[in-house]
Amino acid sequence: MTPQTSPRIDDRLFEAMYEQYFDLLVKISVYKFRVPDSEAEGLVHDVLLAYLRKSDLVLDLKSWLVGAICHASRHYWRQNGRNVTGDAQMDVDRVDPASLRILDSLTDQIAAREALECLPPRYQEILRLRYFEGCTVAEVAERMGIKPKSAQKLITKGLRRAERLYGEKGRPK
Amino acid sequence: MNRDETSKVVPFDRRRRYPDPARVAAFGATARQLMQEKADSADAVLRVLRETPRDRWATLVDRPEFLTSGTLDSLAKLAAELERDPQESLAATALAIAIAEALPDGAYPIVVIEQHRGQAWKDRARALCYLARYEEALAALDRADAFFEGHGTLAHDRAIADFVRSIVLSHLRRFDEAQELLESCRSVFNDHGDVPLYRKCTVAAGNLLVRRGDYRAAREVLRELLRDGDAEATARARFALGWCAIHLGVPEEALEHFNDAVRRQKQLASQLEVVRATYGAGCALVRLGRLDDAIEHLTYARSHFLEHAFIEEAGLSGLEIVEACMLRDEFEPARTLAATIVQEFTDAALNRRAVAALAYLNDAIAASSATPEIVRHVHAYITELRFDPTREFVLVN
Repeated sequence: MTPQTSPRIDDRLFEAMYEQYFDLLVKISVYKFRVPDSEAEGLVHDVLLAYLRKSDLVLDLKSWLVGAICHASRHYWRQNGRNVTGDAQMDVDRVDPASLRILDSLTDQIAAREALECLPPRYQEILRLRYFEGCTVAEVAERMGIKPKSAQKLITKGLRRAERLYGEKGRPK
Repeated sequence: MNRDETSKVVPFDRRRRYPDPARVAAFGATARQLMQEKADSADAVLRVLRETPRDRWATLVDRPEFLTSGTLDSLAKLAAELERDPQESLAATALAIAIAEALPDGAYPIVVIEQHRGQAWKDRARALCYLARYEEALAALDRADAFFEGHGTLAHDRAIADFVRSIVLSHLRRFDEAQELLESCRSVFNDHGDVPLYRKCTVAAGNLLVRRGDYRAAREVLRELLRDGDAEATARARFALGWCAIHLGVPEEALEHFNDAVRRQKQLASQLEVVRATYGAGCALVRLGRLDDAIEHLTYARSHFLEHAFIEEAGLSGLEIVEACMLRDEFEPARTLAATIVQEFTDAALNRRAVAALAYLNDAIAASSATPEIVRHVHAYITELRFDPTREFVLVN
Protein backbone atom coordinates (compact mmCIF):
# COMPACT_ATOMS: atom_id res chain seq x y z
CA MET A 1 0.00 0.00 0.00
CA THR A 2 1.22 3.47 -0.82
CA PRO A 3 -0.77 6.04 1.14
CA GLN A 4 1.88 8.69 0.61
CA THR A 5 1.10 8.73 -3.13
CA SER A 6 -2.65 8.85 -2.67
CA PRO A 7 -4.31 11.98 -3.95
CA ARG A 8 -5.73 14.23 -1.25
CA ILE A 9 -9.43 13.61 -1.09
CA ASP A 10 -11.48 16.66 -0.24
CA ASP A 11 -13.42 15.93 2.93
CA ARG A 12 -16.60 17.67 1.83
CA LEU A 13 -16.40 17.30 -1.93
CA PHE A 14 -18.82 14.39 -2.24
CA GLU A 15 -21.26 15.66 0.35
CA ALA A 16 -21.37 19.00 -1.46
CA MET A 17 -22.11 17.22 -4.74
CA TYR A 18 -24.84 15.19 -3.05
CA GLU A 19 -26.48 18.29 -1.65
CA GLN A 20 -26.13 20.17 -4.91
CA TYR A 21 -27.99 17.64 -7.05
CA PHE A 22 -30.30 15.98 -4.53
CA ASP A 23 -33.12 18.48 -4.84
CA LEU A 24 -33.15 18.48 -8.65
CA LEU A 25 -33.02 14.70 -8.94
CA VAL A 26 -35.73 14.07 -6.37
CA LYS A 27 -37.99 16.59 -8.10
CA ILE A 28 -37.51 14.88 -11.45
CA SER A 29 -38.33 11.52 -9.96
CA VAL A 30 -41.34 12.80 -8.04
CA TYR A 31 -42.85 15.27 -10.49
CA LYS A 32 -41.97 13.73 -13.80
CA PHE A 33 -42.39 10.09 -12.88
CA ARG A 34 -44.59 10.42 -9.80
CA VAL A 35 -42.36 8.14 -7.77
CA PRO A 36 -43.34 8.42 -4.08
CA ASP A 37 -41.12 10.88 -2.19
CA SER A 38 -39.37 8.42 0.07
CA GLU A 39 -38.70 6.01 -2.80
CA ALA A 40 -37.42 8.85 -4.96
CA GLU A 41 -34.90 9.81 -2.30
CA GLY A 42 -33.64 6.21 -2.22
CA LEU A 43 -33.31 6.18 -6.00
CA VAL A 44 -31.35 9.42 -5.95
CA HIS A 45 -29.03 7.99 -3.31
CA ASP A 46 -28.39 4.93 -5.50
CA VAL A 47 -27.88 7.06 -8.62
CA LEU A 48 -25.20 9.06 -6.83
CA LEU A 49 -23.56 5.85 -5.59
CA ALA A 50 -23.61 4.36 -9.11
CA TYR A 51 -21.93 7.52 -10.38
CA LEU A 52 -18.99 7.21 -7.97
CA ARG A 53 -17.22 4.45 -9.89
CA LYS A 54 -17.69 6.31 -13.15
CA SER A 55 -16.58 9.70 -11.95
CA ASP A 56 -13.42 9.57 -14.09
CA LEU A 57 -15.39 8.91 -17.26
CA VAL A 58 -18.39 11.20 -16.88
CA LEU A 59 -17.80 14.45 -18.75
CA ASP A 60 -21.15 16.09 -18.10
CA LEU A 61 -22.16 15.30 -14.52
CA LYS A 62 -25.58 16.95 -14.51
CA SER A 63 -26.70 15.27 -17.73
CA TRP A 64 -25.45 11.94 -16.50
CA LEU A 65 -27.29 12.23 -13.20
CA VAL A 66 -30.51 13.41 -14.83
CA GLY A 67 -30.35 10.53 -17.34
CA ALA A 68 -29.68 8.07 -14.55
CA ILE A 69 -32.59 9.23 -12.38
CA CYS A 70 -34.98 9.12 -15.34
CA HIS A 71 -33.99 5.54 -16.11
CA ALA A 72 -34.08 4.59 -12.44
CA SER A 73 -37.57 6.06 -12.05
CA ARG A 74 -38.92 4.21 -15.09
CA HIS A 75 -37.35 1.05 -13.76
CA TYR A 76 -39.02 1.69 -10.41
CA TRP A 77 -42.43 1.60 -12.03
CA ARG A 78 -41.57 -1.42 -14.13
CA GLN A 79 -40.66 -3.19 -10.91
CA ASN A 80 -43.76 -1.93 -9.15
CA GLY A 81 -46.23 -2.99 -11.75
CA ARG A 82 -47.27 0.24 -13.40
CA ASN A 83 -46.97 0.65 -17.12
CA VAL A 84 -44.52 3.38 -17.96
CA THR A 85 -45.40 5.51 -20.93
CA GLY A 86 -43.47 4.92 -24.13
CA ASP A 87 -40.73 7.18 -25.37
CA ALA A 88 -43.03 9.20 -27.61
CA GLN A 89 -45.21 10.05 -24.65
CA MET A 90 -42.15 10.69 -22.52
CA ASP A 91 -41.24 13.47 -24.91
CA VAL A 92 -44.33 15.41 -23.96
CA ASP A 93 -43.82 14.44 -20.32
CA ARG A 94 -40.32 15.94 -20.32
CA VAL A 95 -39.61 18.16 -17.34
CA ASP A 96 -40.27 21.82 -17.88
CA PRO A 97 -38.04 23.65 -15.37
CA ALA A 98 -40.61 26.45 -15.13
CA SER A 99 -43.31 23.94 -14.18
CA LEU A 100 -41.06 22.50 -11.52
CA ARG A 101 -40.57 25.95 -10.03
CA ILE A 102 -44.29 26.57 -9.97
CA LEU A 103 -45.04 23.16 -8.55
CA ASP A 104 -42.56 23.86 -5.79
CA SER A 105 -44.82 26.61 -4.55
CA LEU A 106 -47.90 24.41 -4.79
CA THR A 107 -46.79 21.44 -2.80
CA ASP A 108 -49.37 21.98 -0.14
CA GLN A 109 -52.47 20.19 -1.41
CA ILE A 110 -55.01 22.49 0.23
CA ALA A 111 -53.32 25.62 -0.97
CA ALA A 112 -53.09 24.11 -4.44
CA ARG A 113 -56.80 23.35 -4.52
CA GLU A 114 -57.55 26.91 -3.47
CA ALA A 115 -55.28 28.14 -6.21
CA LEU A 116 -57.14 25.97 -8.71
CA GLU A 117 -60.41 27.64 -7.80
CA CYS A 118 -59.02 30.90 -9.15
CA LEU A 119 -58.82 29.41 -12.64
CA PRO A 120 -61.35 29.11 -15.45
CA PRO A 121 -63.10 25.67 -15.48
CA ARG A 122 -61.07 24.26 -18.40
CA TYR A 123 -57.79 24.88 -16.63
CA GLN A 124 -59.21 23.58 -13.37
CA GLU A 125 -60.19 20.35 -15.08
CA ILE A 126 -56.88 19.81 -16.83
CA LEU A 127 -54.81 20.48 -13.69
CA ARG A 128 -57.11 18.33 -11.58
CA LEU A 129 -56.59 15.41 -13.96
CA ARG A 130 -52.84 15.92 -14.08
CA TYR A 131 -52.06 16.59 -10.44
CA PHE A 132 -54.92 15.23 -8.34
CA GLU A 133 -55.80 12.16 -10.40
CA GLY A 134 -52.20 11.50 -11.44
CA CYS A 135 -52.90 11.19 -15.18
CA THR A 136 -50.02 11.31 -17.66
CA VAL A 137 -50.04 14.09 -20.22
CA ALA A 138 -51.20 11.58 -22.80
CA GLU A 139 -54.06 10.46 -20.55
CA VAL A 140 -55.06 14.06 -19.87
CA ALA A 141 -55.06 14.71 -23.61
CA GLU A 142 -57.21 11.68 -24.26
CA ARG A 143 -59.76 12.60 -21.60
CA MET A 144 -59.93 16.20 -22.76
CA GLY A 145 -60.08 15.17 -26.44
CA ILE A 146 -57.02 17.19 -27.41
CA LYS A 147 -53.48 16.48 -28.62
CA PRO A 148 -50.78 15.72 -26.00
CA LYS A 149 -48.76 18.78 -26.99
CA SER A 150 -51.81 20.99 -26.51
CA ALA A 151 -52.44 19.35 -23.13
CA GLN A 152 -48.85 20.06 -22.08
CA LYS A 153 -49.20 23.70 -23.13
CA LEU A 154 -52.48 24.09 -21.23
CA ILE A 155 -50.97 22.52 -18.12
CA THR A 156 -47.99 24.85 -18.13
CA LYS A 157 -50.19 27.85 -18.87
CA GLY A 158 -52.66 26.82 -16.17
CA LEU A 159 -49.91 26.47 -13.58
CA ARG A 160 -48.56 29.90 -14.42
CA ARG A 161 -52.04 31.47 -14.19
CA ALA A 162 -52.69 29.68 -10.90
CA GLU A 163 -49.46 30.97 -9.49
CA ARG A 164 -50.18 34.51 -10.60
CA LEU A 165 -53.81 34.58 -9.45
CA TYR A 166 -52.99 32.89 -6.19
CA GLY A 167 -50.19 35.35 -5.58
CA GLU A 168 -52.52 38.29 -6.27
CA LYS A 169 -55.13 36.99 -3.82
CA GLY A 170 -52.65 36.14 -1.12
CA ARG A 171 -52.66 32.94 0.83
CA PRO A 172 -56.08 32.40 2.48
CA LYS A 173 -56.10 32.13 6.24
CA MET B 1 -30.56 41.38 13.00
CA ASN B 2 -27.11 42.81 12.69
CA ARG B 3 -24.54 41.44 10.24
CA ASP B 4 -23.07 39.03 12.82
CA GLU B 5 -26.43 37.54 13.63
CA THR B 6 -27.35 37.24 9.94
CA SER B 7 -24.22 35.22 9.27
CA LYS B 8 -25.28 32.68 11.90
CA VAL B 9 -28.65 31.98 10.29
CA VAL B 10 -28.78 28.61 8.50
CA PRO B 11 -30.11 29.25 4.99
CA PHE B 12 -33.43 27.49 4.44
CA ASP B 13 -35.65 27.45 1.42
CA ARG B 14 -39.08 25.95 2.09
CA ARG B 15 -39.42 24.77 -1.49
CA ARG B 16 -36.09 23.02 -1.58
CA ARG B 17 -35.73 19.36 -0.61
CA TYR B 18 -32.94 18.57 1.76
CA PRO B 19 -31.31 15.14 1.92
CA ASP B 20 -31.18 13.01 5.02
CA PRO B 21 -27.87 13.95 6.72
CA ALA B 22 -27.23 10.28 7.57
CA ARG B 23 -27.47 9.36 3.89
CA VAL B 24 -25.18 12.22 2.88
CA ALA B 25 -22.63 11.10 5.46
CA ALA B 26 -22.85 7.48 4.31
CA PHE B 27 -22.42 8.58 0.71
CA GLY B 28 -19.39 10.69 1.58
CA ALA B 29 -17.84 7.82 3.51
CA THR B 30 -18.41 5.37 0.63
CA ALA B 31 -16.99 7.84 -1.87
CA ARG B 32 -13.84 8.38 0.18
CA GLN B 33 -13.44 4.64 0.74
CA LEU B 34 -13.70 3.90 -2.99
CA MET B 35 -11.29 6.67 -3.96
CA GLN B 36 -8.79 5.71 -1.29
CA GLU B 37 -8.86 2.04 -2.25
CA LYS B 38 -8.47 2.93 -5.90
CA ALA B 39 -5.40 5.03 -5.16
CA ASP B 40 -3.91 2.42 -2.85
CA SER B 41 -4.46 -0.47 -5.25
CA ALA B 42 -3.24 1.11 -8.45
CA ASP B 43 0.40 0.03 -8.14
CA ALA B 44 0.07 -2.66 -5.49
CA VAL B 45 -2.20 -4.89 -7.55
CA LEU B 46 -0.08 -4.67 -10.67
CA ARG B 47 3.04 -5.46 -8.64
CA VAL B 48 1.50 -8.60 -7.15
CA LEU B 49 0.21 -9.68 -10.57
CA ARG B 50 3.68 -9.27 -12.06
CA GLU B 51 5.16 -11.41 -9.29
CA THR B 52 2.54 -14.14 -9.70
CA PRO B 53 2.47 -16.56 -12.65
CA ARG B 54 -0.66 -15.96 -14.68
CA ASP B 55 -1.98 -19.48 -14.13
CA ARG B 56 -1.94 -18.79 -10.39
CA TRP B 57 -3.77 -15.46 -10.49
CA ALA B 58 -7.01 -17.15 -9.49
CA THR B 59 -5.47 -18.00 -6.10
CA LEU B 60 -5.13 -14.27 -5.29
CA VAL B 61 -8.81 -14.23 -4.41
CA ASP B 62 -7.82 -15.92 -1.15
CA ARG B 63 -5.87 -12.85 -0.05
CA PRO B 64 -8.20 -10.67 2.03
CA GLU B 65 -6.39 -7.45 1.03
CA PHE B 66 -7.40 -8.18 -2.57
CA LEU B 67 -11.12 -8.18 -1.78
CA THR B 68 -11.61 -4.48 -2.44
CA SER B 69 -13.25 -2.20 -4.94
CA GLY B 70 -9.80 -0.72 -5.63
CA THR B 71 -8.44 -4.09 -6.75
CA LEU B 72 -11.40 -4.46 -9.08
CA ASP B 73 -10.75 -1.00 -10.53
CA SER B 74 -7.14 -1.98 -11.24
CA LEU B 75 -8.19 -5.27 -12.82
CA ALA B 76 -10.79 -3.50 -14.96
CA LYS B 77 -8.04 -1.20 -16.22
CA LEU B 78 -5.86 -4.19 -17.06
CA ALA B 79 -8.77 -5.96 -18.73
CA ALA B 80 -9.30 -2.94 -20.96
CA GLU B 81 -5.79 -3.30 -22.41
CA LEU B 82 -6.97 -5.92 -24.86
CA GLU B 83 -4.71 -4.81 -27.64
CA ARG B 84 -1.57 -5.25 -25.60
CA ASP B 85 -2.23 -8.81 -24.47
CA PRO B 86 -5.75 -10.23 -24.85
CA GLN B 87 -4.92 -13.40 -22.93
CA GLU B 88 -3.70 -11.35 -19.97
CA SER B 89 -6.88 -9.27 -20.13
CA LEU B 90 -8.93 -12.45 -20.08
CA ALA B 91 -7.01 -13.75 -17.05
CA ALA B 92 -7.57 -10.39 -15.31
CA THR B 93 -11.31 -10.69 -15.86
CA ALA B 94 -11.35 -14.21 -14.37
CA LEU B 95 -9.70 -12.90 -11.22
CA ALA B 96 -12.00 -9.86 -11.17
CA ILE B 97 -15.08 -12.09 -11.33
CA ALA B 98 -13.77 -14.24 -8.48
CA ILE B 99 -13.03 -11.18 -6.34
CA ALA B 100 -16.32 -9.41 -7.15
CA GLU B 101 -18.32 -12.49 -6.23
CA ALA B 102 -16.33 -12.91 -3.02
CA LEU B 103 -16.89 -9.33 -1.81
CA PRO B 104 -18.47 -9.64 1.61
CA ASP B 105 -22.01 -8.34 2.05
CA GLY B 106 -21.90 -4.95 3.65
CA ALA B 107 -18.40 -4.11 2.42
CA TYR B 108 -20.05 -1.56 0.12
CA PRO B 109 -23.61 -0.52 -0.66
CA ILE B 110 -25.34 -3.28 -2.61
CA VAL B 111 -25.62 -1.19 -5.77
CA VAL B 112 -21.81 -0.75 -5.83
CA ILE B 113 -21.24 -4.48 -5.28
CA GLU B 114 -23.65 -5.46 -8.06
CA GLN B 115 -22.09 -2.84 -10.32
CA HIS B 116 -18.67 -4.44 -9.78
CA ARG B 117 -19.99 -7.94 -10.39
CA GLY B 118 -21.79 -6.94 -13.56
CA GLN B 119 -18.80 -5.03 -14.84
CA ALA B 120 -16.44 -7.95 -14.22
CA TRP B 121 -18.65 -10.23 -16.35
CA LYS B 122 -19.04 -7.55 -19.01
CA ASP B 123 -15.24 -7.13 -19.19
CA ARG B 124 -14.88 -10.88 -19.58
CA ALA B 125 -17.40 -10.85 -22.42
CA ARG B 126 -15.43 -8.10 -24.13
CA ALA B 127 -12.18 -10.07 -23.85
CA LEU B 128 -13.88 -13.24 -25.12
CA CYS B 129 -15.33 -11.32 -28.06
CA TYR B 130 -11.87 -9.98 -28.86
CA LEU B 131 -10.63 -13.56 -28.97
CA ALA B 132 -13.56 -14.53 -31.23
CA ARG B 133 -15.12 -16.76 -28.52
CA TYR B 134 -18.54 -15.34 -29.23
CA GLU B 135 -20.86 -17.89 -27.64
CA GLU B 136 -18.93 -17.72 -24.37
CA ALA B 137 -19.08 -13.93 -24.60
CA LEU B 138 -22.88 -14.06 -24.84
CA ALA B 139 -23.05 -16.32 -21.80
CA ALA B 140 -20.84 -13.89 -19.85
CA LEU B 141 -23.14 -11.02 -20.85
CA ASP B 142 -26.13 -12.94 -19.52
CA ARG B 143 -24.32 -13.10 -16.18
CA ALA B 144 -23.61 -9.37 -16.31
CA ASP B 145 -27.25 -8.60 -17.07
CA ALA B 146 -28.39 -10.61 -14.08
CA PHE B 147 -26.53 -8.16 -11.83
CA PHE B 148 -27.57 -5.00 -13.64
CA GLU B 149 -31.24 -5.75 -14.24
CA GLY B 150 -32.22 -5.46 -10.60
CA HIS B 151 -30.99 -1.87 -10.39
CA GLY B 152 -32.55 0.83 -12.52
CA THR B 153 -29.75 3.13 -11.39
CA LEU B 154 -27.29 0.94 -13.33
CA ALA B 155 -28.97 1.63 -16.71
CA HIS B 156 -25.74 3.15 -18.03
CA ASP B 157 -23.74 0.05 -17.05
CA ARG B 158 -26.35 -2.17 -18.61
CA ALA B 159 -26.25 -0.16 -21.83
CA ILE B 160 -22.47 -0.66 -22.00
CA ALA B 161 -23.04 -4.41 -21.65
CA ASP B 162 -25.70 -4.20 -24.38
CA PHE B 163 -23.21 -2.39 -26.59
CA VAL B 164 -20.73 -5.26 -26.15
CA ARG B 165 -23.55 -7.72 -26.86
CA SER B 166 -24.44 -5.93 -30.08
CA ILE B 167 -20.81 -6.24 -31.23
CA VAL B 168 -20.81 -9.96 -30.41
CA LEU B 169 -24.12 -10.45 -32.24
CA SER B 170 -22.84 -8.62 -35.29
CA HIS B 171 -19.85 -10.99 -35.38
CA LEU B 172 -22.33 -13.85 -35.27
CA ARG B 173 -24.22 -12.23 -38.14
CA ARG B 174 -27.33 -11.78 -36.02
CA PHE B 175 -27.65 -8.35 -37.55
CA ASP B 176 -31.24 -7.46 -36.69
CA GLU B 177 -30.76 -8.19 -33.00
CA ALA B 178 -27.44 -6.31 -33.00
CA GLN B 179 -28.99 -3.26 -34.63
CA GLU B 180 -31.95 -3.19 -32.25
CA LEU B 181 -29.62 -3.33 -29.26
CA LEU B 182 -27.36 -0.66 -30.70
CA GLU B 183 -30.29 1.70 -31.12
CA SER B 184 -31.48 1.04 -27.60
CA CYS B 185 -28.11 1.59 -25.93
CA ARG B 186 -27.40 4.63 -28.08
CA SER B 187 -30.58 6.14 -26.70
CA VAL B 188 -29.46 5.40 -23.13
CA PHE B 189 -26.07 7.03 -23.76
CA ASN B 190 -27.85 10.02 -25.23
CA ASP B 191 -30.08 10.26 -22.14
CA HIS B 192 -26.95 10.29 -19.95
CA GLY B 193 -25.20 12.90 -22.10
CA ASP B 194 -22.44 10.38 -22.79
CA VAL B 195 -21.13 11.72 -26.08
CA PRO B 196 -18.08 9.39 -26.45
CA LEU B 197 -20.16 6.24 -26.10
CA TYR B 198 -22.91 7.69 -28.29
CA ARG B 199 -20.26 8.18 -30.98
CA LYS B 200 -19.00 4.64 -30.51
CA CYS B 201 -22.53 3.42 -31.18
CA THR B 202 -22.57 5.35 -34.45
CA VAL B 203 -19.24 3.78 -35.45
CA ALA B 204 -20.65 0.37 -34.53
CA ALA B 205 -23.80 1.06 -36.57
CA GLY B 206 -21.58 1.84 -39.57
CA ASN B 207 -19.52 -1.31 -39.02
CA LEU B 208 -22.70 -3.33 -38.74
CA LEU B 209 -23.81 -2.12 -42.16
CA VAL B 210 -20.36 -3.01 -43.54
CA ARG B 211 -20.72 -6.54 -42.16
CA ARG B 212 -24.20 -6.74 -43.65
CA GLY B 213 -22.71 -5.85 -47.01
CA ASP B 214 -24.73 -2.63 -47.27
CA TYR B 215 -21.67 -0.55 -48.13
CA ARG B 216 -23.47 2.46 -49.51
CA ALA B 217 -25.62 2.88 -46.41
CA ALA B 218 -22.55 2.31 -44.23
CA ARG B 219 -20.75 5.07 -46.10
CA GLU B 220 -23.53 7.53 -45.31
CA VAL B 221 -23.46 6.73 -41.59
CA LEU B 222 -19.67 6.79 -41.37
CA ARG B 223 -19.28 10.06 -43.26
CA GLU B 224 -21.37 11.73 -40.57
CA LEU B 225 -18.63 10.86 -38.09
CA LEU B 226 -16.00 12.61 -40.21
CA ARG B 227 -17.95 15.84 -39.80
CA ASP B 228 -18.03 15.30 -36.04
CA GLY B 229 -14.28 15.86 -35.73
CA ASP B 230 -13.59 13.50 -32.84
CA ALA B 231 -10.12 11.95 -33.30
CA GLU B 232 -10.89 8.35 -32.38
CA ALA B 233 -14.27 8.23 -34.10
CA THR B 234 -12.76 9.74 -37.26
CA ALA B 235 -9.94 7.18 -37.27
CA ARG B 236 -12.37 4.29 -36.90
CA ALA B 237 -14.74 5.74 -39.49
CA ARG B 238 -11.88 6.12 -41.99
CA PHE B 239 -10.93 2.48 -41.45
CA ALA B 240 -14.49 1.27 -42.06
CA LEU B 241 -14.85 3.60 -45.05
CA GLY B 242 -11.72 2.00 -46.48
CA TRP B 243 -13.43 -1.41 -46.46
CA CYS B 244 -16.58 0.08 -47.96
CA ALA B 245 -14.48 1.46 -50.81
CA ILE B 246 -12.70 -1.89 -51.30
CA HIS B 247 -16.05 -3.68 -51.59
CA LEU B 248 -17.48 -1.00 -53.85
CA GLY B 249 -14.49 -1.45 -56.17
CA VAL B 250 -12.85 1.93 -55.56
CA PRO B 251 -9.34 1.01 -54.34
CA GLU B 252 -7.94 4.55 -54.80
CA GLU B 253 -10.49 5.87 -52.33
CA ALA B 254 -9.87 2.89 -50.04
CA LEU B 255 -6.14 3.58 -49.97
CA GLU B 256 -6.78 7.20 -49.05
CA HIS B 257 -9.05 6.19 -46.16
CA PHE B 258 -6.68 3.52 -44.86
CA ASN B 259 -3.65 5.81 -45.03
CA ASP B 260 -5.56 8.44 -43.11
CA ALA B 261 -6.63 5.82 -40.55
CA VAL B 262 -2.98 4.74 -40.13
CA ARG B 263 -1.90 8.33 -39.52
CA ARG B 264 -4.67 9.00 -37.01
CA GLN B 265 -4.24 5.72 -35.14
CA LYS B 266 -0.52 6.45 -34.84
CA GLN B 267 -1.42 9.76 -33.21
CA LEU B 268 -3.73 7.88 -30.86
CA ALA B 269 -0.91 5.39 -30.16
CA SER B 270 -3.22 2.52 -30.97
CA GLN B 271 -0.68 0.01 -32.26
CA LEU B 272 -3.01 -2.79 -33.28
CA GLU B 273 -5.36 -0.43 -35.11
CA VAL B 274 -2.33 0.90 -37.02
CA VAL B 275 -1.57 -2.68 -38.05
CA ARG B 276 -5.17 -3.31 -39.12
CA ALA B 277 -5.29 -0.13 -41.18
CA THR B 278 -1.93 -1.02 -42.75
CA TYR B 279 -3.41 -4.39 -43.71
CA GLY B 280 -6.33 -2.56 -45.33
CA ALA B 281 -3.93 -0.31 -47.23
CA GLY B 282 -2.05 -3.42 -48.40
CA CYS B 283 -5.31 -4.90 -49.74
CA ALA B 284 -6.08 -1.65 -51.58
CA LEU B 285 -2.58 -1.61 -53.09
CA VAL B 286 -3.00 -5.19 -54.37
CA ARG B 287 -6.20 -4.11 -56.14
CA LEU B 288 -4.41 -1.09 -57.56
CA GLY B 289 -1.65 -3.33 -58.94
CA ARG B 290 1.04 -1.60 -56.84
CA LEU B 291 2.37 -4.98 -55.84
CA ASP B 292 5.74 -4.03 -54.31
CA ASP B 293 4.10 -1.50 -51.99
CA ALA B 294 1.34 -3.99 -51.24
CA ILE B 295 3.75 -6.73 -50.21
CA GLU B 296 5.65 -4.28 -48.00
CA HIS B 297 2.45 -3.19 -46.20
CA LEU B 298 1.10 -6.71 -45.89
CA THR B 299 4.37 -8.15 -44.62
CA TYR B 300 4.46 -5.49 -41.90
CA ALA B 301 0.84 -6.27 -40.93
CA ARG B 302 1.38 -10.03 -41.00
CA SER B 303 4.43 -9.91 -38.74
CA HIS B 304 2.60 -7.79 -36.18
CA PHE B 305 -0.48 -9.99 -36.26
CA LEU B 306 1.74 -13.00 -35.61
CA GLU B 307 3.45 -11.13 -32.80
CA HIS B 308 0.04 -10.59 -31.16
CA ALA B 309 -0.93 -14.22 -31.88
CA PHE B 310 -3.74 -13.17 -34.24
CA ILE B 311 -3.18 -16.20 -36.42
CA GLU B 312 -6.29 -15.78 -38.54
CA GLU B 313 -5.55 -12.14 -39.40
CA ALA B 314 -1.92 -13.08 -40.06
CA GLY B 315 -3.15 -15.83 -42.38
CA LEU B 316 -5.46 -13.47 -44.26
CA SER B 317 -2.61 -10.95 -44.65
CA GLY B 318 -0.46 -13.83 -45.89
CA LEU B 319 -3.07 -14.80 -48.48
CA GLU B 320 -3.05 -11.24 -49.84
CA ILE B 321 0.74 -11.56 -50.18
CA VAL B 322 0.29 -14.93 -51.93
CA GLU B 323 -2.09 -13.23 -54.37
CA ALA B 324 0.37 -10.39 -54.97
CA CYS B 325 3.17 -12.91 -55.58
CA MET B 326 1.04 -14.80 -58.09
CA LEU B 327 0.16 -11.59 -59.90
CA ARG B 328 3.92 -11.09 -60.24
CA ASP B 329 4.28 -14.72 -61.45
CA GLU B 330 6.39 -15.56 -58.39
CA PHE B 331 4.97 -18.98 -57.68
CA GLU B 332 7.67 -20.41 -55.43
CA PRO B 333 7.43 -17.72 -52.70
CA ALA B 334 3.63 -17.99 -53.00
CA ARG B 335 3.75 -21.75 -52.47
CA THR B 336 6.17 -21.48 -49.54
CA LEU B 337 4.03 -18.84 -47.83
CA ALA B 338 0.81 -20.80 -48.39
CA ALA B 339 2.44 -23.86 -46.79
CA THR B 340 3.55 -21.73 -43.83
CA ILE B 341 0.00 -20.43 -43.34
CA VAL B 342 -1.37 -24.00 -43.41
CA GLN B 343 1.13 -24.91 -40.68
CA GLU B 344 0.24 -21.84 -38.56
CA PHE B 345 -3.48 -22.62 -38.77
CA THR B 346 -2.83 -26.28 -37.92
CA ASP B 347 -0.61 -25.41 -34.94
CA ALA B 348 -3.19 -22.96 -33.62
CA ALA B 349 -5.92 -25.60 -33.98
CA LEU B 350 -8.07 -23.22 -36.03
CA ASN B 351 -11.15 -24.40 -37.88
CA ARG B 352 -10.16 -27.58 -39.78
CA ARG B 353 -12.23 -26.42 -42.75
CA ALA B 354 -9.96 -23.38 -43.04
CA VAL B 355 -6.94 -25.67 -42.92
CA ALA B 356 -8.47 -27.87 -45.63
CA ALA B 357 -9.15 -24.84 -47.88
CA LEU B 358 -5.59 -23.61 -47.40
CA ALA B 359 -4.24 -27.08 -48.13
CA TYR B 360 -6.28 -27.09 -51.34
CA LEU B 361 -4.71 -23.77 -52.32
CA ASN B 362 -1.28 -25.08 -51.44
CA ASP B 363 -1.78 -28.13 -53.66
CA ALA B 364 -3.12 -25.97 -56.48
CA ILE B 365 -0.04 -23.73 -56.37
CA ALA B 366 2.22 -26.79 -56.32
CA ALA B 367 0.37 -28.17 -59.34
CA SER B 368 0.67 -24.78 -61.09
CA SER B 369 -3.11 -24.64 -61.41
CA ALA B 370 -3.68 -21.84 -58.87
CA THR B 371 -4.84 -18.41 -59.95
CA PRO B 372 -5.25 -15.13 -58.03
CA GLU B 373 -9.02 -15.80 -58.19
CA ILE B 374 -8.55 -19.07 -56.29
CA VAL B 375 -6.50 -17.23 -53.65
CA ARG B 376 -9.26 -14.65 -53.28
CA HIS B 377 -11.87 -17.40 -53.09
CA VAL B 378 -9.99 -19.12 -50.24
CA HIS B 379 -9.52 -15.74 -48.53
CA ALA B 380 -13.26 -15.04 -48.74
CA TYR B 381 -14.08 -18.53 -47.48
CA ILE B 382 -11.84 -18.18 -44.40
CA THR B 383 -13.39 -14.79 -43.65
CA GLU B 384 -16.86 -16.35 -43.93
CA LEU B 385 -15.91 -19.16 -41.56
CA ARG B 386 -15.68 -16.61 -38.74
CA PHE B 387 -19.42 -16.14 -38.97
CA ASP B 388 -20.43 -19.56 -40.18
CA PRO B 389 -17.93 -22.08 -38.82
CA THR B 390 -19.69 -25.05 -40.42
CA ARG B 391 -19.80 -23.67 -43.96
CA GLU B 392 -18.42 -26.13 -46.51
CA PHE B 393 -15.64 -25.15 -48.90
CA VAL B 394 -16.77 -25.18 -52.51
CA LEU B 395 -14.09 -25.57 -55.15
CA VAL B 396 -13.85 -22.93 -57.85
CA ASN B 397 -13.62 -23.90 -61.48
